[in-house]
Amino acid sequence: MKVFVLALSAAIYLTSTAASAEIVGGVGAVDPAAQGTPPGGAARSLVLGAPIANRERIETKGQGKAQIIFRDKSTLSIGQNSSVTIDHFVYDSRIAAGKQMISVAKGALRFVGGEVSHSSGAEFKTPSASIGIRGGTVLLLVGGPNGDQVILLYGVAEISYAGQVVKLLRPGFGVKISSVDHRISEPALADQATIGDLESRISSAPGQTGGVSAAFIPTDTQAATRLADTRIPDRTPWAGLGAIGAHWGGASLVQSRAQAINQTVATTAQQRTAALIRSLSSPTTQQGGTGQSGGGSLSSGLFGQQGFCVWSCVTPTLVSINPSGAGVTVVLRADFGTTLGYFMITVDAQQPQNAASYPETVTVNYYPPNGPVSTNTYTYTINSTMTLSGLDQNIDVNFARVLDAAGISLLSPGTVLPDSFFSSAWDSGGFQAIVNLTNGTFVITSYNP
Amino acid sequence: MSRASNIRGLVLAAGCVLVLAAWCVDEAGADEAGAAEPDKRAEEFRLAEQLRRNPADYETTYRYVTLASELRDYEAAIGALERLLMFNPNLARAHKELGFLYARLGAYSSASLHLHKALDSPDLEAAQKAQIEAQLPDIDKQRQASRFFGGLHVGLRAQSNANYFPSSGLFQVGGIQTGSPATRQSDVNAFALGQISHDYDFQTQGGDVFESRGSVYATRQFSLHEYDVAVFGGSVGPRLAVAPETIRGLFVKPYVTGLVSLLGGVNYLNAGGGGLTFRSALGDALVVEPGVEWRRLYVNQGNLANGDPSAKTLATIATGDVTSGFVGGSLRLSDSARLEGRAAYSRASAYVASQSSNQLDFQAMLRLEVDPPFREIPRRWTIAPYARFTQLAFDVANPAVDPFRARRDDAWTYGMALDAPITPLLGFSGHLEFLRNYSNITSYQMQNVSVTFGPTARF
Repeated sequence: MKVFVLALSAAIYLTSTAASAEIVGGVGAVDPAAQGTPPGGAARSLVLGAPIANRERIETKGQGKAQIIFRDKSTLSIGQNSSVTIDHFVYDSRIAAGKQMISVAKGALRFVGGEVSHSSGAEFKTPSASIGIRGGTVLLLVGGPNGDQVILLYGVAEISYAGQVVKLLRPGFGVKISSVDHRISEPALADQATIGDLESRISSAPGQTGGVSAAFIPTDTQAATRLADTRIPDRTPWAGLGAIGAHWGGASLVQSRAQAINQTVATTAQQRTAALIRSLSSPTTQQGGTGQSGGGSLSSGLFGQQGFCVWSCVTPTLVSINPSGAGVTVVLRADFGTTLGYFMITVDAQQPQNAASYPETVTVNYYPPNGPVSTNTYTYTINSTMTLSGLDQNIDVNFARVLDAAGISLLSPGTVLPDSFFSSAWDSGGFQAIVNLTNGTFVITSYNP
Repeated sequence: MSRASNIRGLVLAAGCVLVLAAWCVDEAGADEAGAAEPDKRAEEFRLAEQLRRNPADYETTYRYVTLASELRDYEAAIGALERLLMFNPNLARAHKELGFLYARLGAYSSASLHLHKALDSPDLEAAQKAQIEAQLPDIDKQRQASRFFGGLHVGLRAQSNANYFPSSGLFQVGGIQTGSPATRQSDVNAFALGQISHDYDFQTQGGDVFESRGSVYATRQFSLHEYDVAVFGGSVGPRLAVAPETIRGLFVKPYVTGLVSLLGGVNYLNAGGGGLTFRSALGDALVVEPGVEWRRLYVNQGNLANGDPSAKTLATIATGDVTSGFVGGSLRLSDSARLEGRAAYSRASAYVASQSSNQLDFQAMLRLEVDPPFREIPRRWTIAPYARFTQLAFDVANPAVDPFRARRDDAWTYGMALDAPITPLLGFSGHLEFLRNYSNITSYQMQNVSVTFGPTARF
């Protein structure tokens, strides 16, 4: 029923508006007393939903206020004791642009921009200045006790008068225009009390209902069910990459130091091993260190004097040396060419301190050019009676039996050898594996009693 | 990792981010009917026309406010809410929505006025008031010339490889592959991250501000105390608008910066320097900030190698100069999704040639803000997948490691972070992260999984 009454009032108002006047907007809210005077027409009280014509003058008196909704979605809230004329408004919705010019003789206004102000800009004229607004929202007081005042809430406003031009760029900043000499002040942050005072001139006072009946006003219960419960983004949000970056920064220090420490530990272990090997590789140390008796001659070379011999004798290359627990694992590769393949020889020597016997393994894996590896591997466990008292590291490996003076000779791949293959006593002669970490060579020294 | 693999990795990461971003835009932009933005614009205009004829149609007004806000047409929503207040000046919910909308536009005084009115109203429900109480201190601070912001995050961080030990356990020593009696060690630490910011607003139209930033990051390992860290950093400098009347949103910031750190309770890295950045807002959604920075580093290696001088050349971070060029940026994909990233090139000129390096660093994070599961929680939660790629290439080989190959690392980091405020001041935050470092030297091939979680406080 109320909607019907409002529509009827608007229709009556429309018929009384000059037929030739272009409709540019409508009355969004109105607190009495407010009246509109269309061009060529008589002054009438504004009613809710009534159309507003181009060049219409709107005046409020006493506690009267009004809000005009323009066709481009902009709104003009007109405060008490104001006089405003819509000088010119055109809007083409197809290109979302147009022109908006408004004269303000006196009073307080809030302009919230729409499509026109976002494209070509809106223009306000007051007795003391011209105000261009681009994409924005402003509060305006014309004819105040100290002159005019413009406060920017969003966008850009350019205030000009008699050659003076001042731009407002930052929300909350405003200028005053003196009523005496029309000087435009330097832009300054408007205090909250000023903004509050302007708002109170424009907004409905307690008891006013903007043109609807008191029984029909919007309620919080209604709003709570209709408005989405969406939270806004924080003004100072979680630091994101900045927060994670703090952990990365701390971790980079630890990583730098930890990797240096890790490398140092590995280097130190290798150097200690090398030092032991060097001491073992000298004939004197070897004799004393191994505690062997019987003298005899020492000769050295890679896997004996001729190398690692199977089909022929080759010099193995060192693949890796890995300290492991109290011992060391040495891996060598003896390559017999593309037609025969290669051997990987893994010497695993564990710390045998004061042990009468200890397991050491030499694993010889044969990798033929074609075919599976597992069928061509030899594994030997070497028993030794050697005791290395006083040494905390040992990487020497004693092959207890000399097959021949040329070095280790292996039978053809696939041959299963007896466990006793390397089981003879040290005194009968043998090889000693010497790993030199300094120059990366692996030396087997043959020992002949 | 080969160059081709790097490119594939970067393309894959970028693809994932784009797919996620597209999904977010789609999700954020889709309403119940799944309408596209042009359709929504048309609907907004249709509602505006309807309201112009019948401004007291509240159902349409609320739909219009919701739709306009979603389309970031905040002024349209403001006009409609101001109208509701003309009908009922005590409509608390309209004051609250208006306050938040004005805050989004940067009109903090107007925002504060409306939010205080909403808070004072007996008609606004507690959950809505909690949202206001969460935002109002920040909004009120924006009106002050001198303003402090701070945050504190404490918690536990568990790492699978706290000593960054190589995955294979193998090292290159003098070019020879070798093992180590040491092993990989997992560990947990208790950490504290404090960040404090102070802005002095010169209250100029351009928004010139003098920014001071300070941070403290400290960890206490449960086992590996030699890796306890304390990092104290800070920077100060003005952020000045460049030609604000002709160029909107362009700022230049010269600054000085410094850092002091302790590692294992002993002074480790110290740095000081300065830089220059330019921040520019390109449209409403994109902000980019390129810059350059120079720092002088001093690294106190202490008794790292018990007197072995070669060991002091093993650290990645070394005494010398670091010059960086970088660009950071943030792209708002929707009201609830934002992509932020940083790309940097750094040249480290150390006193020892084998510690001089070039570093590339790419970071990207997709920030998805979601409503928390309970209405009483006033702030949005953030879920943020992120990725980082760094390439570290040293100038020359380090003979102590490998005399024939200069070290080159390609490190990939992938993670997922969560920031979950519970009250206006307190919440929880954490992240799960996987790091894998590919290196041409076995000593540095490693991976590490870390989980970080703990309470947060902000003011």
